[in-house]
Amino acid sequence: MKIYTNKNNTGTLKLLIAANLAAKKVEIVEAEFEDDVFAGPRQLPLLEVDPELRFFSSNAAVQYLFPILDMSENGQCQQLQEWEATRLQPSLSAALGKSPASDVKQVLKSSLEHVNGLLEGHQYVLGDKISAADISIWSTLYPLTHNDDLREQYLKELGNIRRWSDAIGGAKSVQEAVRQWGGSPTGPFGQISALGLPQVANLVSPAGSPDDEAEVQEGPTPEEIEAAKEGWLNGLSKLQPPLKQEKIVLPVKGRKNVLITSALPYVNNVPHLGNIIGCVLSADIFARYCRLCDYNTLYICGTDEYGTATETKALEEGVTPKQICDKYFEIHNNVYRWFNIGFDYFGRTSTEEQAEITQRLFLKLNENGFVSSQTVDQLFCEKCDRFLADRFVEGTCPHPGCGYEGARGDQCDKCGRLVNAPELLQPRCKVCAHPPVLKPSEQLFIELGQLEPSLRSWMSRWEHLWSGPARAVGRAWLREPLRARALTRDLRWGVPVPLDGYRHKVFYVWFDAPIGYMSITQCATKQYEAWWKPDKEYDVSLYQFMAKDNVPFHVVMFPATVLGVNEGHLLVKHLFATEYLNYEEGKFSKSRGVGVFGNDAQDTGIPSDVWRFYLASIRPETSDSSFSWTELGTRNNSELLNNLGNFCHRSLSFCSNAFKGLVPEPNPRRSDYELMALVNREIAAYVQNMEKGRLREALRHVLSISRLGNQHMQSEQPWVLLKGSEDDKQRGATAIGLCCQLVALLCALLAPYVPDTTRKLRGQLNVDAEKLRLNPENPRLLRYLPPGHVIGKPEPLFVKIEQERLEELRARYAGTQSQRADKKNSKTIDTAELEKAIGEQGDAVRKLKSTTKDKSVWQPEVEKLLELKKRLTEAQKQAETRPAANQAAGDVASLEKAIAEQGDKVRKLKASTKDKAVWQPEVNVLLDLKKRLQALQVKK
Amino acid sequence: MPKMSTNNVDVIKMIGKYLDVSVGAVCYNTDKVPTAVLENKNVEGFVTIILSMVSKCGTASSEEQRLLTYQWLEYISMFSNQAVANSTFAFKFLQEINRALQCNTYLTGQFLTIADVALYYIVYPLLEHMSVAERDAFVHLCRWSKHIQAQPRVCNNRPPLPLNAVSLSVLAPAVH
Repeated sequence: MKIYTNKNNTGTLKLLIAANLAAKKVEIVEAEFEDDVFAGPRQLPLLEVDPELRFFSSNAAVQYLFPILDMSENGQCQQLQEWEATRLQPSLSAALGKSPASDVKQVLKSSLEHVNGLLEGHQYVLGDKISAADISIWSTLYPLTHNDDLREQYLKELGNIRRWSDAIGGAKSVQEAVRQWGGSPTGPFGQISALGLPQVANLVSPAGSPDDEAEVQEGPTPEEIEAAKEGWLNGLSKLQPPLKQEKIVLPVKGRKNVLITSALPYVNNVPHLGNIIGCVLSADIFARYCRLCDYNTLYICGTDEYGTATETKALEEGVTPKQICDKYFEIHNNVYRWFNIGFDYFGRTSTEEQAEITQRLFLKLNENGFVSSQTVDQLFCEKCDRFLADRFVEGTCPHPGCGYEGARGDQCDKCGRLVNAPELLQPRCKVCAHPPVLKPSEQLFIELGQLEPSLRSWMSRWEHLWSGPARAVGRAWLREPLRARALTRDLRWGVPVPLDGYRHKVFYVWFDAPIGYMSITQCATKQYEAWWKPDKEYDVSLYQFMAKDNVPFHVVMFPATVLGVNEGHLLVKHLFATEYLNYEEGKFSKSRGVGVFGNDAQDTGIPSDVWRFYLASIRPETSDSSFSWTELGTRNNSELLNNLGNFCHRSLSFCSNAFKGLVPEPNPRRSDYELMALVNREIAAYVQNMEKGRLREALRHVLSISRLGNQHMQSEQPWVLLKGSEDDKQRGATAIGLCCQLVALLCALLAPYVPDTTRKLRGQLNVDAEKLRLNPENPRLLRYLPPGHVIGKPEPLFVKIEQERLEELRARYAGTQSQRADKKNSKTIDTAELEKAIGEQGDAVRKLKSTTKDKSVWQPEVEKLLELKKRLTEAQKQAETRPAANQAAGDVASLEKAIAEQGDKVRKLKASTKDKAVWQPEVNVLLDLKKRLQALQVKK
Repeated sequence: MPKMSTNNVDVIKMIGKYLDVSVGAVCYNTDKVPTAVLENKNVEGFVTIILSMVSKCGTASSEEQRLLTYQWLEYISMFSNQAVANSTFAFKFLQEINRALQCNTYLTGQFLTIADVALYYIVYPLLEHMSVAERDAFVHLCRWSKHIQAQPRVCNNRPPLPLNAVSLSVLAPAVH
């Protein structure tokens, strides 16, 4: 075997150690990247086993030379080696290079701490046996462990690494390998790849979003540093004057006026998490961001109440449609309130304002000649004695190539195309499954075809401002010519049609629902035209948030209506649609009740801010994403708690303890301005992404700021500086002061995402919301806390969510809602929970008794305790008897069902054939099932 | 024009589809290392995630083959982010790979491995944006791409790259 290598390459040391430990003979051949020895990527060392088998990765070569015997540890060994190649080695090489940046050193330090942690209580990194990972890491760390200065600088507090390194270094075969290697721990070191050093990911987190032109990250330029300095010294005075918040929000001249809508949720069910992040929460985060920038903002939403689904639901429940709407309006309203959705107004579409505006727009559309009438043969169910709404007919999709059997009368769920109900093949009434008949009825239509040219030119002008999913849906829609679409229908629950001959009909819900945005604005402001038909001198923009399925109505139908009305109404400018959110591995479904619903989130006891943060961080911006309980926990524990919460709490606690809460006046040096410049990059990226509706990306940049803050704290070590010389003390104070200012900045940037937490944090910082604003024209770090500012009392902001708790929640919300309801009814009371409650109550009683002798004070608590104990005894009794009975009952039922099905199958088979060979196996299955049932019944 | 690019998390997801293995939520952790949850365990690192998905599929391979696959995936993990972000770097990166494919049908020799599929997903947008003339510098890579995209399930929803068949087979015949 040959090893080709350049001089002083620590990768080669890996190979020699591995070969020596495994007692394999190797020959060393000198090589450079220019030499003609490579048959693939030019990396050194190169291990040549034979001309057919060569390893250009030193880690793969080490594994080859020194194979792991215990294969169960294979994955861990590879994970560590990958980490060594992509993170440890590059950061170490960079840190040993010329004038390394402070964040490179920081990455190296945290990598070393990681290794030190792995060695805690173990002889080697993967336990008590030496592995290929030890060889790789040990060799890479050789320059640190064998250079006194660096050892002092990096490993002083990392006793495990020193112990481990000395132990390995003491082995005879390793000493022999080092001798063969002949390298020096002081460098310079041989390059590993012709491509240079791999970049360490996220050293400074990248500024642009993934689809922007990516750039190679470099340290801040002199201009950036100058700008940071300017912002620090004078930025606050250049902040825009605050916007005076009026009771009724109307457009203001000379300001950016932003009208924000989120898709109106339909009132026949409880919204699930997918609905919440897709519409109301996204719009809320954006609206809060707009207010942070002093845009004059109006955020409205409401429930969409008309339509057949409501009417049918009312029939089912034996109440009026209005009562159904009232009930669900309350539910929606409560869920959104719990999630802290800060609507300026949350209305509904069953209002007089709605009827009035809808009728006016319709008459205008009619006047302009875009309405036609046609007698349509409509599906009529003779059994139910009514015309069937599109959603109440099902059949086979008429689109060629689809043929889906469960297509609805308005849309096919499989191919996503619209369907005209009478065109469905083999239609059936959804309520009674009776095939409907066609019956003529005169309806009004909007001539979308005539409006298509103006729609196209409008769309091509604005679609670049829409999110990807919105653009895609819009384009798909215009691929086929638009057809006239029915405006009216034979129903009662809706806006009546104001035209003779049609007065007993109502408008289709697709037509009136988007007009709800206008009518709700009217309810909120009494002057909806100020927003919807703004004066040319006012800068008004409409931002609409929705999930992908709602896009057609917002880019085709509603704009076509507005263009047809031709009165200069406001059209959507920024349309931020999301893809779908999945639940764990499957889909959220309102109709089947799968997933976590608005009220469930509340029941988990996890604060709404954590939900908001997590949902924003998985917002399906560019592709579908999935909700996962594990990830919810990880994000909370690693990002909110460890990154963000930790930084804020540490900074403020330092200020509180070392300076009695008086924020020290920073005296920034160049390195501090460099940090500010890096922070400013993140703020700029935050604003850029927010303005494009990329809320998830924007959030990432906020977290990068707190990461930079943590790194700064770690590298400055104010706790050491404050004990040093006068100059050191000054530096320590500057670090604390700067960190406190960063906390204030984070408090501003996070306000759109976690309003409750930032309110608490403002209390701890002792500043008003009005002080923490952002200049979107020139976003940068400002001196939010004025000289002499005294902060409040720092307290932890977040709480850890334990893994067990998540498992519990995952189990609780598995399956569909109805399955969960069953489970709840038959649920045995959780004895563990009761025991815990008893323990706590017992403590409380003891404490009370020790503080007071007044029986009237502690007696009620004692009674509670007794009650709990009683419940525990009952629960324990139940627990003994119940599960077995339940299980047996369940099995009996399912067996009986299986037997009935199998019986049918056998009968059918016997009817169709006389060949015993065909039906005998099925009969055997049946007999077996019956036997099992019998056995079970006997047992019972 | 925004540049279409494929990051490592995208590649992991596409590999999941290719192998028909559910990867669940894949994301970057705070160190920007791809992280997935497989069988309730956090698995970190591009190579490690992909290799665990492969082992979940139960495909057996020799120890040598496994190490060769590892070394290619490690190489991708080290450099692909830079290649995606920087076109000058991408050129050098592709040249290294082109050299490797000069004498081999697949990256690791005679057999298709997951490393080929992963690299194909990385290379796709890079080749996609090249002119025919630019692609000339990478004939072996193009021949290999054409071969990989013809494998079942590799393409998923994306159309195969239009790589001119005639000139390729003349200039860079497949080596068997």
